[in-house]
Amino acid sequence: MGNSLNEKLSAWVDDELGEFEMRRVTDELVKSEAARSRVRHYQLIGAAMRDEPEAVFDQSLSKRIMDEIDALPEEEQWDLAPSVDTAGSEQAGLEHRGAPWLKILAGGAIAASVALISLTVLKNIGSHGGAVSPPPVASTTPVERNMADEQAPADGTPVMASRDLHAPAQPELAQPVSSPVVAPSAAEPIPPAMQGGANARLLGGYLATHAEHASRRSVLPKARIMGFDMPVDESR
Amino acid sequence: MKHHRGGHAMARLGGRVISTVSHNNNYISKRCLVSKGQKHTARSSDEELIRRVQAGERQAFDVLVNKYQAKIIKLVGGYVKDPHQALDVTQEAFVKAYKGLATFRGDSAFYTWLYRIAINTAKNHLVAEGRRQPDTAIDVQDAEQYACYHELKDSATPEGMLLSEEIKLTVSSAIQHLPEDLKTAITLRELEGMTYEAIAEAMDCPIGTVRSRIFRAREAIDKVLAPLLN
Repeated sequence: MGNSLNEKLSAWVDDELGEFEMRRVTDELVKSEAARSRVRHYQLIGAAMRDEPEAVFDQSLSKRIMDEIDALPEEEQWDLAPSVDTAGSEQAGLEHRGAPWLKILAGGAIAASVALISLTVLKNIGSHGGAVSPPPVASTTPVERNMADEQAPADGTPVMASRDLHAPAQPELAQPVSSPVVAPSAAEPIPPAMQGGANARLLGGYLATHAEHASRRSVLPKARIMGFDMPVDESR
Repeated sequence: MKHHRGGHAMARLGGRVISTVSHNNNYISKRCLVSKGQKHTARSSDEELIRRVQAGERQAFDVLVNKYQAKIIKLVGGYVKDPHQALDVTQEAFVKAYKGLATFRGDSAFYTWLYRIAINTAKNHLVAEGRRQPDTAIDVQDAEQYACYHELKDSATPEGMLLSEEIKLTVSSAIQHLPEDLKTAITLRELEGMTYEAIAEAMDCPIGTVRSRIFRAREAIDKVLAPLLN
């Protein structure tokens, strides 16, 4: 290193360089360990003159810091562009060239995992009869209701889903309901008990007997139930 | 000019005392003499280095470490008394700063930003150690002038003290052998913190001459000091 450069390094320590010189000296400092070492010596002379504490004279601190930075795991290093000046920093740039791809891949993997978990959870909720699962004999979705409408008898008897009984003001329930008929979903099979009049009567008899014998200690034993008719569309 | 280590430094020009400073117990840096242009250069120098670190040149960060490590050690020393721990905390602060440089936008000066990291790291260290933090916070403007390093001195290790004392003695001895103009220039710069412009005015010479004198003084001292450091 020439005296000219060393004089500039000395002025750099004192922040006494102009813009142009400062850039040139900074460039030299980044490139040359010898220049950095000389700067350290100049700073040490100042520290000694000011009678600064011994910790300030630790010449190995900057090396320890740079060693720790070099030893940082890949994920803790931030994205470094490839260097243009020094071999060492060029190596650093090369080491980190794969980092953006890793980040994109990691991000994609995380997004896919979240989507998979969400789908699995929603599917489980649906299959375990949660809030979104349809009742066994009720049509719940507009599509299913439309299908039920298509199956309605031609005489105008309203057909509705059982869930709709509790709906306060559904447009399709404008007419009074006298004898509700539960319309099974098109996707679900019609229970055998509802497939014919004989079966319906059997079911009614069973229910009447059951109610009579199962509720002996309540009001029902005082009243005899003669039947449990269920309106069934005989035409079906 | 007389220069007493640990006592008073006195710069005398042609029989006229131009400054007196006690630098052992209550050293007050006259940074007020730093011109706005100088501050601007320092900041743009840091900006250039940060830009280069962000562009992938790690050695640029080494330059920043060299530039500020003494200030940060002294600052941390106000919180962490043990010199070894103070060095560890300083190291941790610089590594944190390196990790954070990707997001550093330059809204504040680099040193102000680094100062905050160092203070937080020192406080976290105290919390981890189960010790109480100092009641008084150190203002960023006062950080350079804060004489917290006296506490570091009190708990210095014998071998560390031996080395630092040897360095100080060597430097002091080398200064005594300097020509008067070089001695004055380096003393005004290092002890008074005067700008080249102010020194040129005080010594009645061009700024270029001041720059050359300070450089030659450093070179002469370094020639004596280098064998000790190597």
